[in-house]
Amino acid sequence: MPTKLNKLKILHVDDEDDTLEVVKTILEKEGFEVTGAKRGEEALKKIKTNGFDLLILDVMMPDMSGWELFNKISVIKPNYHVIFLTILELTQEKIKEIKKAGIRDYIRKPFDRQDFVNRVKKAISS
Amino acid sequence: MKKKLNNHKYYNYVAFRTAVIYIVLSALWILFSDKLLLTNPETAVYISTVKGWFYTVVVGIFIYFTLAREINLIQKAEKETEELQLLLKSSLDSQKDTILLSIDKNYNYLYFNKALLGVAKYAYGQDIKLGDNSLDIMPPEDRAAAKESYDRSLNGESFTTIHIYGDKNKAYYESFFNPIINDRGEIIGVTVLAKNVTERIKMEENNKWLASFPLLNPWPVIEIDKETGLVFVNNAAKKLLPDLESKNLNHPFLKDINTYFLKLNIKDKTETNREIKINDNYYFQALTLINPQQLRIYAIDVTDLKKAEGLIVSEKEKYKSLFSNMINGFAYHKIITDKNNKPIDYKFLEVNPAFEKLTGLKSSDIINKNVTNVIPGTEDDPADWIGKYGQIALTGQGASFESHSTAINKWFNISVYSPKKGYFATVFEDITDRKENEKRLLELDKLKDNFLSVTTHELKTPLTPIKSQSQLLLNGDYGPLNPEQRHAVAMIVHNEENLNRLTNDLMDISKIKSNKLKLILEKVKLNDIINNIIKDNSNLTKEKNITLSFEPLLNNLEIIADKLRITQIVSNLLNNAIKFTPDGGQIYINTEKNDNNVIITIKDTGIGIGQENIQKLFTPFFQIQSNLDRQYRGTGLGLAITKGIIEAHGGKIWIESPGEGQGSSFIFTLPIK
Repeated sequence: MPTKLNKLKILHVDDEDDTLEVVKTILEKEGFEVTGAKRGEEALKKIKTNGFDLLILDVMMPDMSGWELFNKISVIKPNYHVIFLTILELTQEKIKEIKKAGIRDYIRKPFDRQDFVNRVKKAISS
Repeated sequence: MKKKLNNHKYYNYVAFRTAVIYIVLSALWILFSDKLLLTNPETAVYISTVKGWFYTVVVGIFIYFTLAREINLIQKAEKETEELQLLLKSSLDSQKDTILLSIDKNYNYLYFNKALLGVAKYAYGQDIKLGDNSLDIMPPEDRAAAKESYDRSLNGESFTTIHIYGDKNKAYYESFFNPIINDRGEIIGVTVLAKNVTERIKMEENNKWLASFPLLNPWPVIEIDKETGLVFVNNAAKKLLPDLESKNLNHPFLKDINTYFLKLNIKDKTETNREIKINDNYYFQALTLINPQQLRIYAIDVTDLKKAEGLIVSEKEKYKSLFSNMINGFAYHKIITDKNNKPIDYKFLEVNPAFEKLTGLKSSDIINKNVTNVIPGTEDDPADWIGKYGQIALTGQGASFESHSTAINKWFNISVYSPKKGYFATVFEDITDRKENEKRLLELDKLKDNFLSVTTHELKTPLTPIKSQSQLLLNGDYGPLNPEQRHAVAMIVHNEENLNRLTNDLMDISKIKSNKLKLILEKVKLNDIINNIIKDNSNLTKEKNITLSFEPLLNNLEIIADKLRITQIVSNLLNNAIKFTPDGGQIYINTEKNDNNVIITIKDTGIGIGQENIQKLFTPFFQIQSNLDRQYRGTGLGLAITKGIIEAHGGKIWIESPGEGQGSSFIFTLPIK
């Protein structure tokens, strides 16, 4: 368990305020420092100015999709640990594709709290 | 000629001798007349003078010359008679149809001409000669009649009669019998002049038959006079038109008949197309002008013919009108081939109005024209219409296809067939509307999919915070909950889970219905999946005191399947079994394997299913209407989705149930590979 001084930083991008809030609540209970962003552009600004240990990205968003955002982030800093957190059910091909692109996990909403926490921890430490 | 010269001399000698005898007798009379006292002396003196002698000699010479001239005349006449005889003979012989013969009292031939020779040979097979018995050469049946006629004439009668000779080849002879009478008035024979009148007799018989024709004609024959009306009405006409004689020219059968006198006189004397309708019968009349005053009318009943014609016409009309009014375009063509019998073009022979309307081509512009003229570039069209149609026209094997015309932006469904070799007909309908509808349906389907995915997204979005906050509350993250609060939050969690499942089910059924269900196939250990599900449901079975037994596959067999989907269906079926099995019941899960499949049976001792509902259970949203408790109700999608997933794997599912209250078995198969 990391100490308060060197908390692991997570950026969560989702266009839903409520989702941003519950994810922040759950993960902060686990001792992570969670920053929320409602838009892709906002997320990119935050990535440029701060370093994060994990990015949790929604896929369907109004200004840009999680995919676009992932690609733009990869330009700024490759090898980010990234999770897709989405309502979408992805096909087998799509899952292969995102794993190949370097995305650590794909979690569907609504999620079970414990399962979600376990997978976030796994992704951040891998 | 020699004989003639002798005759000539002889006659001269006779004349000379006659003259000399006269002179001698005259001289004797002169010398002795006085002695005999036959005359007076003066006369005797005068005669005896030189003058007397002179006159006697002159008279003698005159007698000679007169006689000689007379004799020459006789001689000449004799000669002419001889020539005439020859002429007559040859003339008689040259008569082919006229026989001339003479017989004596014993019926022997005195004379016959060549014609008889030929007839005897032809009719009796005999060669005859003068002196033969004319009766002997005839067969008995002809002989009696001939003898009778000969005898009549031998008794002095001259008469004409007609004899029939021969059997098969009947020959008619008109014979003139005349007795031959000698100088003493005795009858010494018979001359017969017989003329072949076979043709004439036959013609007369024919005429007799013809003459009876109007009377005996089974169809009406009427003759009328321009002024006096009916002249002749045959039996058929009387029978058919009983009122004809009373109405005369006013009878409808003779309507306007007088106009034909002038018409036929100018024209060709015959009119064969006059049609008269009486009651329901039709008559064709043939009119012949016998003379400018009289007209003959032949009639025949053509009612049946007319009816048949009418039927044919109406059938024809029917097809014609069908052809003209059908909404399908129709065109008839002749294929044109090159020397190697390869189709290179085709010609329009016939098109219907619908064709014109559908294609915009005018019949008058295309009939008898080649398609390469009417629609240039057809020969280079990649669709190879000419080749395609040519194949059909030459092989007779029809075809049907859909085709888009870019020229007029229309879709056509075209049926092509070959009614006879080298020809083909196309029947086509405009399916543009259908095609547009199909396109619209595809768009709608896309819209529906889009709608569903958006809806699902929007439905699930609020579920995330509901679920997470409920879990945080239940977990005591926001402080401890009293039992009522805990119950309330648990209910929220439970309903959130139901809502999430319903949303997932909606997504699944929509994918199954549009064949878009995608499976993530991998090696799956079926035993493990089932064991996990049993474990997950152990609380439920314990709660209801249900005995659950499981017969796993041998050797922990692996199959190729979608792990999550198989979990989904087995869970669904087990949940149903638990749900519908009363407390203390039993559930058996049995697995077995045959050549290519595994067979999974989930059997319960539950409420069972009536036969009438077994098949309906797989229909989406179907739920058995019964007194089932609210707790049994679901979305009605579970079994439909289960069936869809199993079938997507290539398996089957069915239900066996002895009846309501007697439990049920859900059995499904999955291919091993």
